[in-house]
Amino acid sequence: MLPSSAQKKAAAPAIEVSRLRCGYSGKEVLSGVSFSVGSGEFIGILGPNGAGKSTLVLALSGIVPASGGRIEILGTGVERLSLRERARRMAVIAQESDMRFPFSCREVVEMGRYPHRQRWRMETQGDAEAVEKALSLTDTARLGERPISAVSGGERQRVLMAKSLAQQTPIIVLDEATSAMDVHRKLQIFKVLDKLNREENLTVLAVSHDINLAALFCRRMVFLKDGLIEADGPTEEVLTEQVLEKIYETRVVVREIEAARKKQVFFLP
Amino acid sequence: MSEAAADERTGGLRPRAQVSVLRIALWSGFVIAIVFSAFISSGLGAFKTPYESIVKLWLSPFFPDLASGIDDTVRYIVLHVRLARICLAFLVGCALALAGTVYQGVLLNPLADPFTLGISTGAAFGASIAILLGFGSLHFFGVSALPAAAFAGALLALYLVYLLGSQEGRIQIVTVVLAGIIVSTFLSAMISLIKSLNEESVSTIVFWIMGSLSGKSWAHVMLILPYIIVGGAAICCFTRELDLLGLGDIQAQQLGVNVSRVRFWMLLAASLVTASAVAVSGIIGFVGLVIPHLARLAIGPRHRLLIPAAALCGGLLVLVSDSIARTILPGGEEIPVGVVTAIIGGPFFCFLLLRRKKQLHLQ
Repeated sequence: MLPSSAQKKAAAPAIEVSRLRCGYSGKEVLSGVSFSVGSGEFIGILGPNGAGKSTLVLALSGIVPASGGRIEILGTGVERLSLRERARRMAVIAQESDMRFPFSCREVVEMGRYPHRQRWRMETQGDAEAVEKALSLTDTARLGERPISAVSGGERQRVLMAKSLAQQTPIIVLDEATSAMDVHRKLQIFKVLDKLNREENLTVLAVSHDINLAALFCRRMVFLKDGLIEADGPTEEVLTEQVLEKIYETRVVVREIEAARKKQVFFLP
Repeated sequence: MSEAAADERTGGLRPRAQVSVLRIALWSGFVIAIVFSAFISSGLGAFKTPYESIVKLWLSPFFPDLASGIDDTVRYIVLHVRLARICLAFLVGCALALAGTVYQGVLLNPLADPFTLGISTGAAFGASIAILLGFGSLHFFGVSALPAAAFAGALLALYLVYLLGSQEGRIQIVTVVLAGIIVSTFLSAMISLIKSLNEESVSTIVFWIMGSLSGKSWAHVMLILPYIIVGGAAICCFTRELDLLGLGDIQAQQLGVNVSRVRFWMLLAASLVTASAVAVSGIIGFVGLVIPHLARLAIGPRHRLLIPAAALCGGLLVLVSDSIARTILPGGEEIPVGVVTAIIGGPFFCFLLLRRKKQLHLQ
């Protein structure tokens, strides 16, 4: 399922960020961020509001240019990747979409095939299969012909997720993608990603402020605060009261839930 | 589980097959309506022409001997006056609807069209300047000066609207229409000023403000055809990208679309076809606004189908409107075609607005 160009670089880390600085119109949001994501990792990027999480996603997608430092995706610097080539390596599942026009849910999912399609070529067998697979993984096949503007918020986010899965990239980034969903759906989406991560070696980078959801699935966590990395390491090592109290500046209790062998966090006033 | 999946698939396919039958019916309906209107229209006018000879004239390219018995005046009027004007009306309608569809798709704005963005007024302003300076009918290196001047005016208006309506290189959806209205009002005032500076060209300039196809010939068709073909071909190359722009800038870019480049070329192409239409017809309102919505309701939002559907619909609307404009008053008097499109389009748009606000996505 990896594209051939990416396969050659399988030895290189999926994402390599070194001393990244960037921001908007003079205001620096990220001031020297470095981390490396290995192929097949399931990693959470967390932190309070304004820490620079969304900016990091925009920088990874090349929308906000870096003013310093470097980003490499599967061994190639983003500045040397064409937009389409990057879209074949990394998909971003967005938080919300304000679709102006009544495209059907299936048509939105088909848009995920854009980076793979030639301009005048019709849809190939591979395109159709990728779309079917994405629809069934996200349980959106029955929405098929309904306009995206007429489905509920949670359904729309699953369609957007299906669109990104149809991109069939080796890396997927979630940009707060589950924030509008109820608990049941959130878990369902993360379970799908967990399955793809384990079975197909998909690299998942979940940017979220839902620390407990991340604690259930991410095997590694990176905490951002004020544009810098505060903590980075395996979830069981980083998710401690000392680390979290420093980042969130409030009392924190971390408990291990025995049934799930996972840690959960409680913030106290 | 596989059974359920198979069920889902056939359940998905069956309505699709129905949809495609419906689509074929819809497309042939478009074409038949256009040919039929063109045929009826070629028999209408102050000069009486029996439909019997119209049929013969229409068939004469295939059966040359059919037209042998027909009076030369009738032949001239039908082939060189009426059919030329019918073709031109169709082309102008295509161009305006194409431009409107692209503006709405690129700016994600249901109210964008050549008129509300001020592009039409800009083109008329360019043409008026050319007339005022007296090189309206000149040719430079085989390129006629009038469409070129109109295009320059359209680009000026586009530049101003872009400048006023964007912040840090990103287009603000609400401000861009406000900017269009400001630019349009200002340039209208400039056209009026030019008009009063040069009393002789008043009548020619007035027609730009009102919109009319009076006295146009095959020469005008050939004049604008290349521009519309170039602009239309450019637009057809980018239908997939136009679809993806609907996701918003960030998601389109994350899917690999070079948003700013697509937006630049599409605005340029839409302005080129607008300018070519305005250069021969003046400002005809409502076509570029109403037709894309209508086509989207009929055929869906995918630009691969929407673009041709809107072009055909727009062509049909202007063709019919122009036929009404030139025949409704007795004694060969004409009313401007822009008046007819506004009279048809205005109430129709009100109807859409009141009944189907939700489908139009104006909320």
